[in-house]
Amino acid sequence: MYLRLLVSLVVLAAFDAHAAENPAPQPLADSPARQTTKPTLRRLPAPTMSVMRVTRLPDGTLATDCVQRPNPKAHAQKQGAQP
Amino acid sequence: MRQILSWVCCLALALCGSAAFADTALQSGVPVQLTLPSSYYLTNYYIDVGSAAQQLRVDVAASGGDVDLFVRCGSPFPAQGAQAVDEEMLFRYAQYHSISSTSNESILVLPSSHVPLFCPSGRWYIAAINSSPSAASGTLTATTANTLPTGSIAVDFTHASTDPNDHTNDCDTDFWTDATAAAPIGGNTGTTLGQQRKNALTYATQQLAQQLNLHTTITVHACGAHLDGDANSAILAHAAPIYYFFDSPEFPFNSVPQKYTWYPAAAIGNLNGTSLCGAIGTDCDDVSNAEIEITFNEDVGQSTIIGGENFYLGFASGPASSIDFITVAMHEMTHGLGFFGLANTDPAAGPIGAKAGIDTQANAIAYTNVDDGPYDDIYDVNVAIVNGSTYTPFMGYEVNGSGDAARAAALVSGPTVTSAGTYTPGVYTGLRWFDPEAVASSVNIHRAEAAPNDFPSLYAPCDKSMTATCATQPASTLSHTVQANDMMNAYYSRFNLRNMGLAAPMLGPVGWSTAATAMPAFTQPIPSNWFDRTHGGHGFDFELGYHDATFGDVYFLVFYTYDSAGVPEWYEAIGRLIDGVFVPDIQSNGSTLYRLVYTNTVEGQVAFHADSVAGSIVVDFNQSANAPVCRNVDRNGATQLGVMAWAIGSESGTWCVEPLVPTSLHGQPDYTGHWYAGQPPTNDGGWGFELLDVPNGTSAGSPLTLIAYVYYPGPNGQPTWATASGAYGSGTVTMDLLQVSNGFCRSCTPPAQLNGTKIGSMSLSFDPPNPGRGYTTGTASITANYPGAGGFNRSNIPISMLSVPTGQ
Repeated sequence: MYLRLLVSLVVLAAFDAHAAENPAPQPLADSPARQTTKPTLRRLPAPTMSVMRVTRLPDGTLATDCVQRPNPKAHAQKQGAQP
Repeated sequence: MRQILSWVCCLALALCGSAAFADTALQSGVPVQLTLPSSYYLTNYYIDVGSAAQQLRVDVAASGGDVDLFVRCGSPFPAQGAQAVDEEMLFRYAQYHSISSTSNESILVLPSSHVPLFCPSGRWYIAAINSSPSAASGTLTATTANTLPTGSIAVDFTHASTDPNDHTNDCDTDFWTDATAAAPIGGNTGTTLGQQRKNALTYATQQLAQQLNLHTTITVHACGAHLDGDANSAILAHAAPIYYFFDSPEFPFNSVPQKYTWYPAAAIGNLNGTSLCGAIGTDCDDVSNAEIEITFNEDVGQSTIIGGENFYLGFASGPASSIDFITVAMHEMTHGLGFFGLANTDPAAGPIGAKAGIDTQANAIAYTNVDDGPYDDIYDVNVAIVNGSTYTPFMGYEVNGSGDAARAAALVSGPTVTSAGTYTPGVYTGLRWFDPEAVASSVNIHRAEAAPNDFPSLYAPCDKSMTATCATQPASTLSHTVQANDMMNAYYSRFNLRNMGLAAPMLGPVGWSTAATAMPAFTQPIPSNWFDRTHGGHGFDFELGYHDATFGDVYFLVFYTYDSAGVPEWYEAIGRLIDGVFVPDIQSNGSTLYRLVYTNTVEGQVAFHADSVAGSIVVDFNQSANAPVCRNVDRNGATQLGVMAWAIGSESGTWCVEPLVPTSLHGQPDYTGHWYAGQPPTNDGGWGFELLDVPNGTSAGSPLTLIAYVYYPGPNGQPTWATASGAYGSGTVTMDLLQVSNGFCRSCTPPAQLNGTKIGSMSLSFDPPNPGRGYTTGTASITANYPGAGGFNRSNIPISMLSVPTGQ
């Protein structure tokens, strides 16, 4: 155990000096082995949209209803994705 | 073993880092110069937030480059300059990120944020990177204030577009500039129709922002389009959240409370304390930054459309019989804010009640051809299925859509209607909202009743207007309330419903709550052997290397698996547990998961280097039961779950893992952990083994069953592994060393049974436990024959436990 700490402390001293000399921004790791270092986002349109409709009832008054319909933007994205 | 050396090195780095981490305090409101060359980062800033503070805003205002901003509380980012850092690492550490494609970023943290402003330490750490090829220069400012910010809903009236295939998908901005003269009405002082429409929509957004007590700014893209109509009926408007997102290891949104769950775009921005572009990394200055789109029918008002009836555009309440533009706008934008269930209600789209998944080839949310998901959605997570006095969650853990039928039944559990529009408001349904914020709200007229009768009912008619059996009304069903005269009713027989009613408290858990939150409880995984039930025979040894109260505990992971030919091989990673996620360090070859190549296997002289195969791994132990990958087979009985996302070369996978032996089953004395022979004076690093023990009986002193996974140099310098098991009482145990002879590749179908071939033996003896010494010791002998000729052999070599013993 003490040897582990000894090793640690030796390296600690070295890196203390390193850190003190490098308060400025540091270079990002070069990651040539990996294709990307940025996570991949899935961004998808809502499958449907809300649609409010007005209807004149037999008694002459107006009433609304709210339904959902396929979202044309999702449809467009599907079309774009297909080969 | 390389992992040992790495571990020691890592220990040193972390300790040295602790002397230099985040050593520059920011003063509230005082900008500091920020100069980031291309591909540089910094992590050395922090700000302390006082107990009276109600907000923290961190801003980067820079020119050139592409600066991204990250903040977190609890423990610092990796110390600046002390270890390899890349954007992915900072992303995974961050609790909030702003990563737009510009160098102007802003993050707002509030008492109501998922990781709240009053996190345990009150110290917020700040990191920034410039991942662009050009340099960035500007300022970094952190500002606290003792008042909550006032948010708003901005409206984009300017970005027009046309869709040649679907005119209802146009965005005609002339709707907002129509110069037809109009007399001021009901407080709306506009003198043209276009101006009055703009004023009315702005008024509607102000009403929503005020009633939601909004603290952030979101953006609505406002359009007109020819949505048609006739003398008796016309569409007034349509709206939707523009995008949906979810938090997963592939793209963490650590700011959202519910993992692996669809959130609408506006809620994502609100929870992340950023604009949408900051949350998802897009341009900020065009329509792509809008979270909601609303389109009004510009044909309304024409003489051929419902008798020329036009929108009422006044701010003051107009006649109840008029078509109130502000009511229509508020209702539709409320759907855009997330009052919108994604469970399927349309038989043409797939099974009724199905959760929303992804058809990756179509790149669309779908209910059929789903090859990613399905996922719960944050609206439906708050819905319950009520049967009498009992209720069950509408979403939640289930295997392969087994809950679809129950959801389908609940979706038609309300009163029967025989023609559309004859629904009687106010009647209970079996589809209810059970989040307490709405249940306890003063606007819930049933709040005094006993649960579940106090849960607000959702619209779920049994519609027999078109069919003999109950049908849904796609999708008025589910995404509307039934309490009479509530703004989110599916039907209005009168207008002027400008009070959000139940929608305001119901939107709270969808991402709009302003109530102060407690620090989330992140999962503490147990050190053990972790495996996936659908990839039995592969797994990983996950062990605690050492505690680090400053930067987060250090763990090492050995992934035992098979190559494409089914030959046993292993990889390793070393990193920290950050908010319940294993985030590995980056090695010198840029990988976070790497395989060794041995160049010398002589005792005391073992030498190796990392090979060139690229690898990465992250294991998220939080809320894994929400992950689709944990719902593909029944995981009942698992004491914990984790989601392991790995990549090796061109292969990748996401697996659901669980501990092989829970801590409660460990034997005594407990030898569970990772062992090695690298300690002086033996110095025989480069190989090791994991031990698991369980008592072989219930009486005190009964023998232990030991299970060993041995990782050692195989033929041709390639790393390989084998297993052994046997009963150990005291003294020495000798076990057969077995190697799987019908291993299967990581993407292959598992065989019905794995076959073990004896390749040698393993003998272990342990010294008496000595708590004062800290590390359990013993000796090991190993004979592992290679196929053909040669082998790996050790005789009575001193060993010690490398990992922190269980419970320490």
